Order: sequence, then C-alpha cells, then structure tokens
Amino acid sequence: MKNKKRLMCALLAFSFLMTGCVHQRSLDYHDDSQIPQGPGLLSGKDGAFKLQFNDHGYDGASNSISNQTDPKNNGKRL
Amino acid sequence: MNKKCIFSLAIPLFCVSAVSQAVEMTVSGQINRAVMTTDNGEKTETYFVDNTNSSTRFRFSATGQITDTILAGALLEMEFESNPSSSISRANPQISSELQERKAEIFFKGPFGEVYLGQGDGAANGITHKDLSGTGVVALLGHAHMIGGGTQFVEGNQTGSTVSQTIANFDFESRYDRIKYQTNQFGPLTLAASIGRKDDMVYETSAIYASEFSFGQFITGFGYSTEEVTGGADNNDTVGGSASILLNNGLNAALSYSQLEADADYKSENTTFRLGYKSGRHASSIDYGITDDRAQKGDKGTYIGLNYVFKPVNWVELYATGRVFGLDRENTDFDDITVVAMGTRIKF
Repeated sequence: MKNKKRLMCALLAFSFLMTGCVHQRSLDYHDDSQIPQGPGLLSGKDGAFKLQFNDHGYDGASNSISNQTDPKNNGKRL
Repeated sequence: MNKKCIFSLAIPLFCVSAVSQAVEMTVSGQINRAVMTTDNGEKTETYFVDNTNSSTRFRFSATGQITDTILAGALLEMEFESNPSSSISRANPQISSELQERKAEIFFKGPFGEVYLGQGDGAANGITHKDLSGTGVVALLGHAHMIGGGTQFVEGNQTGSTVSQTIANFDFESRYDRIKYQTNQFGPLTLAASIGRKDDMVYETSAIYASEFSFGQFITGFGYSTEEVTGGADNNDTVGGSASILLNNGLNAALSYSQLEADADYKSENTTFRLGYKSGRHASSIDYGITDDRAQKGDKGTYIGLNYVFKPVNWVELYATGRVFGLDRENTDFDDITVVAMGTRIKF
C-alpha cells in the first residue's frame, strides 16, 4: 500500500519535473468515455449539427437561423 | 482595496459587449451497442447490450461570447442506455432504457479559468482512467466491470457477489450537482476543485498533467475526494490517479490506482496495469487488475483482459474484448468468469 502511494507521488513529482523540459507542449487529451471529437455520420466534418443565431440589431427582429453568410454583415453566418 | 475599485474591476468582466455576437448551438451524439457473452463456469449467456464504457447519448450545447474574452455556455447531455453492459445478468436479462441526466450545467470560460454550475463531473471524475492506448471505448482503464459487471460468481449452486461488487476501481464521485472551478492550463498542468452535494456534501480536487514530447505523449492525473456521510459515520475518502505514456512507435503503457476508505479500519484498493500498441487505425491493449477488499474484507478480485479497437473511418469504432475475472474469498472456491464482447460506436 505504502509502495503504491509512493509510486503515485513519484509519478506526480516526475510530471512536475517534466514541466521543466524544453521540448514539450501541452497535450489536447480527449477521454474515450465521452462523445468522440471529429466528424459524425450525419453531422459531417464538424461532428455536430450547428445552429447559429445572429442578432442583426437593426429592427428588433428575432434571431435568424441559417447556414448562409451575409455579405452585409462582414460575411458572418446568418 | 475599496468597494469602488472592486466594482470597477468586476464590471468589465461581466458586461455584455456592445457589438452583436453570434451565438451557437450544437447537437451531437453517439450510439454504442455490442453483443456480450458471459460464462460463469456453470452457464453461458448472450446479451445485446449498450456499452457502459461510453453509453448511447446525445447532447445540446449552446455557447456565446459575452465579452471579447469571456465565453458563456450551457450544456445538456442525456443518456439513453438499454441493457447496460455493466449490470445486465441472468437475474436481470432485460433492462429497459431510461432517459437519464448526465450533465445539465452552465459555464463561463475566460482569463480567470473555467467555472461550472449544475449537474456535471466532479473535479476528480475520470482521473483514474487517463489513458493513451486508444482502447478506452471498449475498456476504460481500471473499469473492467463496465463489461460483464452484473455477472455473479458461482460455486456449485451457490451464487456470490457480482463482478461490479468485487472488481472495480474508485473513480471518485462521478457526476452530481456541484460548482466546479478549473484553472486554465499552466503549460501542461490543470488544477480543479469542486463542492457539491449528493445525500450530503462532497468535496473534490484534482491535478492533471498532459504533455507532448519529442518522444511521444504523457498524461497523468491525481485526485482526492471526500463525501460526508449522514448519521455520524466516517466520511468516504477516495484517493487515486492514473498515468499513461504513448511512444512515437505506438507502444504505450498505463497504470491506475485508487483507494476508498469508508471506515477507519477498512480500505479498498484497485490497481490496474495496461500495455498497448497503436498503429494507424488499429489499437490493442492487454490489462491486468487487482481489487482488494471491495465487497468484504479479505476479498481479492483479479482481472486480465485483451482489447482491440479498429476505426475504419473517423466516426466509427469497431471493437472487441475478452476478459477473465477471478475472486478469491475465504472458505469459497468460485469459478472464474469469462466475458467476450464485440460491438461498435458510431458518432452521428
């Protein structure tokens, strides 16, 4: 038991020491128990169905939902 | 610092930008189904299950910038799991699906870090299965009971404890209603703490180190949780962590350790070792795990498993696993349990 605790402490200490290494960068870790990153069967390369709401703010109209871009609004999606 | 000064600092953090900002809502999900066969030494059974390692689920997420640097959002994640692979058994051969809440939380992310409020992961949830083998969809590190966990050990006509009751790790307090704070990454280091409530108060803290090097990748996490118990009993204290290394040539290894102390003179422990190999769209691993004193003092549960995952395209994972569970208990001679499963997870 004590040996296992020591092992965990050693692992942590090792990790903190490694933060000092020059040739390292942070890792973008994704847990396998979660919905995977990346594309989906139906959702395509985004991996999710996206709705974008953009408040035009000029006439108090309700939010619009579209995949098209608006050239009058700096190319933002509607 | 006087009150005026505090307000003058706080207002820019929370005021909405005058510029119109796009708000985005995303919907995503997955289905994860498998065929599982169990043999407890007396009888062989086959079930059609939902893989509890990563159950069938869907989620809605909405995010929007409230200032140039602060993102606000809401997440609703539900699971819909029929015949969970962790609990299906001869005694419960069919378990109807129920729509269950996994996460229902709001969050704010900015230069100050990340704050979560609502039902979601405690600060240490998942700390014991940090793993880079690529086989987690069929075998989360240290969670062997997720496949075949409902199967009972038998000795002749006598049935004993199930796999889940005797061979499992202690991955802290899972999901519950809480407030959680998580730092932004200090280089590869992330710290988190949460306070929440189940039947009584729950406190958790964790540290995660995740980094890429010239030789490969390395991740480790360490956590601690305590759950207060009503009625004056001792708190449930859990401590543990995991570590995994993946070399550029595909070889990888992982270790998970966790300990639950629910009573002053009684501790349960789980230790799992993993060796693996990744090559292109293929990943495989072999595990060995030991759980001491889980169902009762003196129990020793062991597990050995072989796991394989193939990703023909990025949204499909095909997988298979075979594992053998054993239980040593005083004055008993339980048969080993063999479990074989194969299935697929498809992200839609």
